Amino acid sequence: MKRFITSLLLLGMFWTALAQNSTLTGTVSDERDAPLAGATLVCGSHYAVTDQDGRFTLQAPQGATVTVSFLGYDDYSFSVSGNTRLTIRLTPSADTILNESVAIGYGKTTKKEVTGAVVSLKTEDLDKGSFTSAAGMLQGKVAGLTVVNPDGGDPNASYQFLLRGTNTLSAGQGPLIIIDGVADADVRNINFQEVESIDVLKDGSASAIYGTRGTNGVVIITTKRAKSGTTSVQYDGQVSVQTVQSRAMPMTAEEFEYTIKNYAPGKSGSLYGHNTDWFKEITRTPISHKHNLAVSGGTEKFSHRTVINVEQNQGLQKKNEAAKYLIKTNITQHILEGWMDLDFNLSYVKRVSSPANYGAFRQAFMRNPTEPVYDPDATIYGGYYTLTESDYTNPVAMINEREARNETATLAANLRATLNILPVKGLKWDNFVSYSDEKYSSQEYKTSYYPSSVGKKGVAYTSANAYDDFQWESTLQYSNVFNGHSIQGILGYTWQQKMNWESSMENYGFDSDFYKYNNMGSGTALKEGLAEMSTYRSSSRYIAFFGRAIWNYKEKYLASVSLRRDGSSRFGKNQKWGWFPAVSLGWRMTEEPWMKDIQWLNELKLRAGFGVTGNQDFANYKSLMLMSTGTSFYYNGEWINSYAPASNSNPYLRWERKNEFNVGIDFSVLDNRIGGTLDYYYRLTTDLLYEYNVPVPPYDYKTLFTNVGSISNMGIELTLYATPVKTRDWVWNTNLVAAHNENKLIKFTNEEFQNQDYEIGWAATPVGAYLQRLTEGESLGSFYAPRYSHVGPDGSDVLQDEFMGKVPVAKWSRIGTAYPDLTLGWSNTVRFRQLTLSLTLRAAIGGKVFNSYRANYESLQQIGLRNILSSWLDNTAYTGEIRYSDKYIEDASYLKLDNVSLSYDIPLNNKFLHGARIFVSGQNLLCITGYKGVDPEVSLSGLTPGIESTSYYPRTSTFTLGASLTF
Amino acid sequence: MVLSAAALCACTNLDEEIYSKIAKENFFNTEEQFVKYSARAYSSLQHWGTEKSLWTFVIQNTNEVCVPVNPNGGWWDDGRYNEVHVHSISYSNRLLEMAWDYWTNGVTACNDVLDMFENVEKDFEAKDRVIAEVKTLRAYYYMCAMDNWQHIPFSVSKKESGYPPKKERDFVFDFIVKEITDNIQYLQEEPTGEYYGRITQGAAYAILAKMYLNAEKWIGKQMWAEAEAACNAIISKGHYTLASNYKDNFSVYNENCPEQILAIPFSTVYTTSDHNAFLIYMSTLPADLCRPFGINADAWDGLCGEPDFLASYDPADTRKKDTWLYGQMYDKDGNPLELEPGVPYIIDPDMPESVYGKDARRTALQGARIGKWTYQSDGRLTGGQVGMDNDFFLIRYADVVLMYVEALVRQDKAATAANLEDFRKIRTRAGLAPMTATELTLDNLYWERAHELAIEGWQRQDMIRFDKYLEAWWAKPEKTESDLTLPIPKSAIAANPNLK
Repeated sequence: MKRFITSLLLLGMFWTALAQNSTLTGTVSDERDAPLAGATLVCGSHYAVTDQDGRFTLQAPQGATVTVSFLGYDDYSFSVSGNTRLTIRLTPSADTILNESVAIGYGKTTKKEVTGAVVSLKTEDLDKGSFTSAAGMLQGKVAGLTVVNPDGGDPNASYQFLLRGTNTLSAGQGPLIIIDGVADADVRNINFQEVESIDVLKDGSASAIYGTRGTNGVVIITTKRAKSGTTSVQYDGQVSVQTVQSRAMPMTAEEFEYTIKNYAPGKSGSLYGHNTDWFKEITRTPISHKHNLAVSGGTEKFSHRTVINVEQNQGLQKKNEAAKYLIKTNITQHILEGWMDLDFNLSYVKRVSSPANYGAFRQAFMRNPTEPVYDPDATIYGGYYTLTESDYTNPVAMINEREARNETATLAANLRATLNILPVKGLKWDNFVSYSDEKYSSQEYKTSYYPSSVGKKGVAYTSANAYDDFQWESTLQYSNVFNGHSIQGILGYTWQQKMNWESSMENYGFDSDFYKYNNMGSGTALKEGLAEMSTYRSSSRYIAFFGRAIWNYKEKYLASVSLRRDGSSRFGKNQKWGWFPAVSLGWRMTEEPWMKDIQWLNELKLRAGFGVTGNQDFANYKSLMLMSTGTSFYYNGEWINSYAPASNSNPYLRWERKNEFNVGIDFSVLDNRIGGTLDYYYRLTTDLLYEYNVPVPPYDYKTLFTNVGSISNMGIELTLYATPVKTRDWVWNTNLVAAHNENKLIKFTNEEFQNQDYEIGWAATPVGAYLQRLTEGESLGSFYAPRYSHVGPDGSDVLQDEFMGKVPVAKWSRIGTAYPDLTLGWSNTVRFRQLTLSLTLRAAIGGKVFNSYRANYESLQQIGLRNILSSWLDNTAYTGEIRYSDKYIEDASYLKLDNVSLSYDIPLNNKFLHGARIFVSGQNLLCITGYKGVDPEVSLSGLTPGIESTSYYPRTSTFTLGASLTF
Repeated sequence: MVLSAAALCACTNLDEEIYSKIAKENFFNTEEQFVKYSARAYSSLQHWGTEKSLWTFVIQNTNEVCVPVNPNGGWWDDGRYNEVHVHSISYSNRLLEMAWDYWTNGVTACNDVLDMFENVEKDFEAKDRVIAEVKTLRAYYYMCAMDNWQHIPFSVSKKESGYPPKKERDFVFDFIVKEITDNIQYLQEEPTGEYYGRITQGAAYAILAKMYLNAEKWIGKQMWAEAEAACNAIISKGHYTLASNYKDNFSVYNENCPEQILAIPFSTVYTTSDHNAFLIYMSTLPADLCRPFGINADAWDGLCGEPDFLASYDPADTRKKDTWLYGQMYDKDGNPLELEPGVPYIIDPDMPESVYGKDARRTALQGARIGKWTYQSDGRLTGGQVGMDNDFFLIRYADVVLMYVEALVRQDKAATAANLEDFRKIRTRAGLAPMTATELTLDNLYWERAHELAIEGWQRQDMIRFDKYLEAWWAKPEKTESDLTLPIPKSAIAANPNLK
């Protein structure tokens, strides 16, 4: 660590100013000589921005190169010579968008040349605001990619991804995330402000180059890199506050008392005479701040960028915190007279959090509001008012009497060494070595007064895990253009090894709460044999050979072919390797002579692709017959371990295989003011993995993890972008994404493995029903329920087809699926001179969601000791028991105002300060929905999507004030 | 660095390295490992005491235990407990599946152990005895199967190909009897401490006695004399005696009780998971009785004594108080408990049938609770999956004595039976006068067994044997012959097409 700091100090010395400056003045205008406000001029460490009349003043050394840039115009460069009064006219770039570079995995191409379904997002396409993870910036930005944060305002929450429907039964659903070349990277380990671009490979032809990790798509994140020529220091700071946007509303003490007195007088014994707002007792107004300092600069041969990032995020729940400390440096160097390029990255990230206690939110909801918080007489419960009922604990005690801390420290280093074989133009050999060492530790202490463990005299828990990831990738790349033929080829090999080591300890029975988790050996449970300890180690290895050829003729006819040979240690011994081919073709019709005359049409491209990918996101060792320590056995006066099989061997265990066909059209019209993309895909996933019941004997263990089923997903995705307004002062850019997907479980049985209908999604008492079924021929996430009819005269729900007070399960109706019919995202940026307003809306239409809070807590029968939903008062005729029916399966359609931000670029003409911007933003501001629960946007991952959990974190709106300064 | 990576990779090697478990191929190296492997045949017995097991299934299936919905609305769970008690059990019932798993897991473990022993050339001293124990244990698991199910999948070796075939009761009956008689000679005769919790000759004869006694109902053949002989083989050796105090059989540290013939040892330390913890305290006690009892848990308040069963005891029968918790409740130190100042904590064992069913609820103070196994009050019970220390006597000497009496009575030798010293002691130990020969009717003997062995898991086959099982009782309607055996669970049929 010390050495690391020293090297940073050395880097710092490079940002020194140059001497011998001239003072340049002048104006920048557009093609019609109208002044351009906000254009930037950059010369080494010198920097200027034009004012409202397009005027600038810039200090620049003689002979240096100045680059003038403005969004939507070609960059213009010139050398500083004698002339210091300049009139610069920029030309609009005809196909700025088409020439944007697009990362395609192991290489780059341009938007016009790409033949797969690939979406490329740049900084300006992403929302401004405050994010706990860069993943959040993808919400509503990519057609067909659903990004959900099911845990609302929890600063430690993770985002879930779902690309083009559910394609698996039991393997993972997260895309392969590649950050700056490192596969399988953790998006929480970068700062969202450092993201330069995000590319999403959606279809099989694009992601087949990643073989068994390609099915869920590939997200390639590129962070800001060292660049030669410009020395700058940039500071970004922001502070944000959150307010509750949505939560489950229990009755207030007044409502509770009113309801009991008027509707359930028999339960007046549950009125304790106090007025407690339990939610308020455990929450606060969270304030968070984030700071990012980036220093970059360098010369043609050596450049660097160093980032320091500090974040302190508070959660809505008291004591719930998340902090991040990140230091990262990127160095690029060109050595050996152009023969070799080096790119070196070193980062250290520490994330410290105090995780929320989700159970406390649920307890606060159902806690009797007429109970007091404290009771000085309840000494054995630490003075907290306590009623000993199962699953009924004082939420304030749950917060106060628990201390939890998680820490993740990741040290990662990687080096890319590219050997340019100069004698052969366009040939290079690239080697990439990456190592990441992650240490995770977790501590928790529940004091002797923590509600559910009173009597245990304090429970301490710690765990310490270590994750090693070593990757080596070697590629031979060739690219050239001759006679109109553009060729790009790559041959590669990649090797990755992961090592995990996990340990945990638990002990209780402490003399004093003073020790917390810091003197664990002193707990008496250890001596009594009731403490727990475990360690676990596992490793996996992943190897692949791959090749790809991309060809185009005059940027008119385009083709790409790739093939990967992929192997993983997780697969059965007879099935270690698989082939993953892909082919895609493109035709840019606008390049044809017969279309050149159509003036309004700037681009029309047809694309078609087919690719095979796999999913190997399941646990290690699933193919092996392993023995584990089983139950203990009393043998000859002492307890000994028994040994038993823990899994069956499956030498044929392999990846889930997906074949995907994709066709698409890209177009752009009216001087590229309007453009878009339309894609149609059909993906068939076979060899789906599932844990099947098998007879024992002949098997060793009662379930077998094996490849049986198949699922199809078919859909349409539309992306439209337009610049409806573009004048001297006003620019309005707008971008709409829309997607529709149809999922179908084709089969999940065969002759040998037949599990028949599977009822899944068990909702516990008082609902007491399986909410969904796995049925061949239907979509996953299909809800089944009896149909609700009306409230009967006795106050109970009457259901259709009821017989003897019951609707047999066979007569339940299919209510619909959790997946929406249509998802929409609409982003807008309006710029007026230095003011920029952006606004993002997101919607889902169709889809069902199970309202767990209503189903569990909207019944008069439940009131008494426990509170119920305040919404019961809307229909007081309903006084009966909870009966599961489709009344709890609601329409999940919503329209959300995700983001509104307003930023202002302060015009400056300052020697030291080159740029300054301030912004305010509001996130998750509004949700328009008919759904009566907390948030209709619930987890869509896994086999039981669309079920809102009763254990949830409230949704919050975030308001952020930020500033960005460039020196 | 690149070179070192190349050296490391061994380019295409994808073998998995294992660290925290053992591959089967590398396991059997020492004799100790064989014993540890065979231990799982025995440890499968521990499933008996868990929350959902064959044991908790059969006690709910008889007139002993019922599970009304509790005051908080708990324990309806889609009617799965209700189904078991009123005998309309769906084949997808979770309790049924777990009950089935008890014996299938046991058979599987035994088969696996036996196959392994066959494959291994290495000899160790007690090999024949261990094999005989495992075979007899497998016979016991098969007895559990044929006791409850008409057809069962049958397998004695993992080498058999295909799905195990479905077999009828006659076939399984013959197999069990032959297996035990063939192996009994190799078993330990004297139940020394080393053999606690293991199959001895005593246990084997007791299982045989159960087979013969139920033969009439299971295979339509009366085998009373064989039953008498099997019981006599145990009684005549004198290795077992009745405990002086009934409660000694169920105390926290009951491992030295002279009455046990086959025990399932349990421990708060070693049996603490959902497949091996003795958890009856969690299933039956209300949360507010736990801390007064010295239990640091919030128990689930479910299983209750069936009111008519509670009412069936002779007022003088001390086994009622020794088996059930009802009336005034006391804390661990014997102080009477109060609900609030001045209001005593009294549980009423009587409940009208109207408290039973989906839409009904019992009150917090209705329904006797199971109190047969003394609750340890040292604070070691902390809920979750921490099980009790009391060992469970699957077969105990009093049961053998009563089987012997029954075999005699059924052969019209009631006078001999009435004079039997151990039988008289069972009665006097319970505070009752010994039965005279005339009192010794089958009906009285049925109730004697019911009260002596209440909730120990034999009542279901006893009720069938004494023709009581199909009768109506509290909340349960009268049933027909087809009700005598249980449906094969859906999950088992899904996994084995031969069971369709």
